[in-house]
Amino acid sequence: MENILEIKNLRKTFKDFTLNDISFSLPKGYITGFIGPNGSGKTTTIKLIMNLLKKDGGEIKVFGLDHIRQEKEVKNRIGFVYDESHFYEELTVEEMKRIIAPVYEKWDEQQFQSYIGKFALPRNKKIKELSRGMKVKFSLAVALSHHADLLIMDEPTSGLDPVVRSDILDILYALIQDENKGVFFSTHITSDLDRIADYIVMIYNGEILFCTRKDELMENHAVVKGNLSLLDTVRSRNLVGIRKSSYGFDALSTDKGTAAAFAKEGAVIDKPTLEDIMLYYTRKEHSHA
Amino acid sequence: MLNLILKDILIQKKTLAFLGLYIIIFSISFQHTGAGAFAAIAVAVTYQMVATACGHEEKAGSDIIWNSMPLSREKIVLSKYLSVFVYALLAALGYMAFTLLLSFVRLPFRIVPITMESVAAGLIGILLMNGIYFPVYFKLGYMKARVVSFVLFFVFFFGIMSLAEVVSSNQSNALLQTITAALHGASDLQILFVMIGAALIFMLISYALSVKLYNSREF
Amino acid sequence: MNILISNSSTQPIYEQIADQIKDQIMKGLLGESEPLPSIRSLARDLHISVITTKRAYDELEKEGFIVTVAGKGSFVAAQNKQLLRESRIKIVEEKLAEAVMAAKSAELSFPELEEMLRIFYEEV
Repeated sequence: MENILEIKNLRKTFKDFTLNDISFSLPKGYITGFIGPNGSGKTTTIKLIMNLLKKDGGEIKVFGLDHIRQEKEVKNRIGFVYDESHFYEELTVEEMKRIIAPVYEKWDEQQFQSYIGKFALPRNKKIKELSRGMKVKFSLAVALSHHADLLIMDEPTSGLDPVVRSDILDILYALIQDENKGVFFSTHITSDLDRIADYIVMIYNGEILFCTRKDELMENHAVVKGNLSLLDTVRSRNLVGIRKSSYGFDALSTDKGTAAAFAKEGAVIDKPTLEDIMLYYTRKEHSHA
Repeated sequence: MLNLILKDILIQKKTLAFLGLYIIIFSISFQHTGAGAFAAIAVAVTYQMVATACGHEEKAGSDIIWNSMPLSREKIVLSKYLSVFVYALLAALGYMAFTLLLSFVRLPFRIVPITMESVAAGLIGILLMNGIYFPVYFKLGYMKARVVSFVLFFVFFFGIMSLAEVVSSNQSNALLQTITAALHGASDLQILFVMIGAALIFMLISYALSVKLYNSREF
Repeated sequence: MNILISNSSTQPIYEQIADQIKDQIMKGLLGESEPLPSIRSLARDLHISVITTKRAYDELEKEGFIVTVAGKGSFVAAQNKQLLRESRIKIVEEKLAEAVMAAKSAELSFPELEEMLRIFYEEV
């Protein structure tokens, strides 16, 4: 299985934040969710891939090509959707397209028109008159109209209502019917990824916590709730984000055996959501277990 | 790249409307100034259009879009430089249209018709002014470069005008005579071409510098 | 082909899919050599990830229920009826063993257990 994205020892230092030698790889044909709380480095990572920020060290390969040495070829094959519309508000949808289309080698006007129709985007309306959801759909229409093989999205669904979010997910499902395409979807609204994501990469404080298949992630983890006394009797080595209250404790078990051990002692075990996983792992730093 | 220049025009459709007004008002106010009129107007028009275009880029944060696309930074910079010529052309066309209009309609003022000298002076002014402005813009961004742009505008706008005045009315000035002697033998046209050539070379150097500065920018 | 996934079930989604397809094959609702939807279109229709449907199909293929031909897709495999019956009988044996253990720990006698079995067989 070829990797659509390969990041090795990527490093970037800012005054008060460092992306610390991160590495991960994504296979093509799948949807990868990039999760982490705000400020963890998700946008920084994406900007480094797109060479909007200059990396201090490390290697980034997209489609097996170096993202700087073959920047033009790489960017021709990447469709991007960012969290804010950076289009010119005064221009219409049609005008905006007219200045963007010539940039891409494989611009497909027919495909663009079909997306515009599907999204019911009014062609002659100014960008500033579009709702937030429409702006994202416009970005998506552009991103998907030049035969891009990798779709990179940075928090595209924040601020959107569930209906629009569902529409966007439908588009991703349609896109991934082609096993040569890939999607890299960064978000802190993990519910969007719970079902659709094949792989999950989690970043926190500039470090990669894990990069695994989503199903394995969900199966190996469980939310454990039990009596405080259990924390002493059952081995708590594989618990993260332990929170104690007068009613008991809750934590995330990172290992099936540990969850089973707790279950035997009467603790309540629940299937985790991606949000649970993100919360408990980031709570790790603050727990005084 | 034509699409990028087109973009710069499209985003300031409103400004184009004002331009017409600009040209009319300026040319009427300068009707007694002589050759400097068009040159100053050209400087004013391009200043306004460059400022508006750059302002819109900043407002939209469009650097992020363009740099996420398969578009080299050289091209992005080049389009801004080339757009200056387009603005100058628009200014000239606007001025000539107005002149033409006035020749049909009898109105109580006359404006100075466009001349080779004023075009050349205007072009030189535009090239020098933007040649200084653009590296600052590409390095610091629109907001921080605004002060510089404003100062430049004043210097060149009034500078060009007064220079034109000085040249046309003070033929007996000593400095001028020295310069004229040094350019001894060369016809007016040749001098003009040399000066434009120098301004173009200046612009080229400015372009190279802008590219270098923009290449190291981060968004 | 009807597949219904429950999110609240403790059974992993890929297992639910595999079980339901298995069931339909065994009941004859899915005939031999009948094509199955591609893993990607199934993922899209069920709104789950591609890897999940892939896992379900891998499982089904491992157990001999389906066959995947590269470039063509997945098809219901020719079912060995004898093997099928044997595996079903095995399940009955397992469940009976469980019932017997439960009965013994509840101190039920064999006649009592037998009686219960007869009632269930007639009612269910």
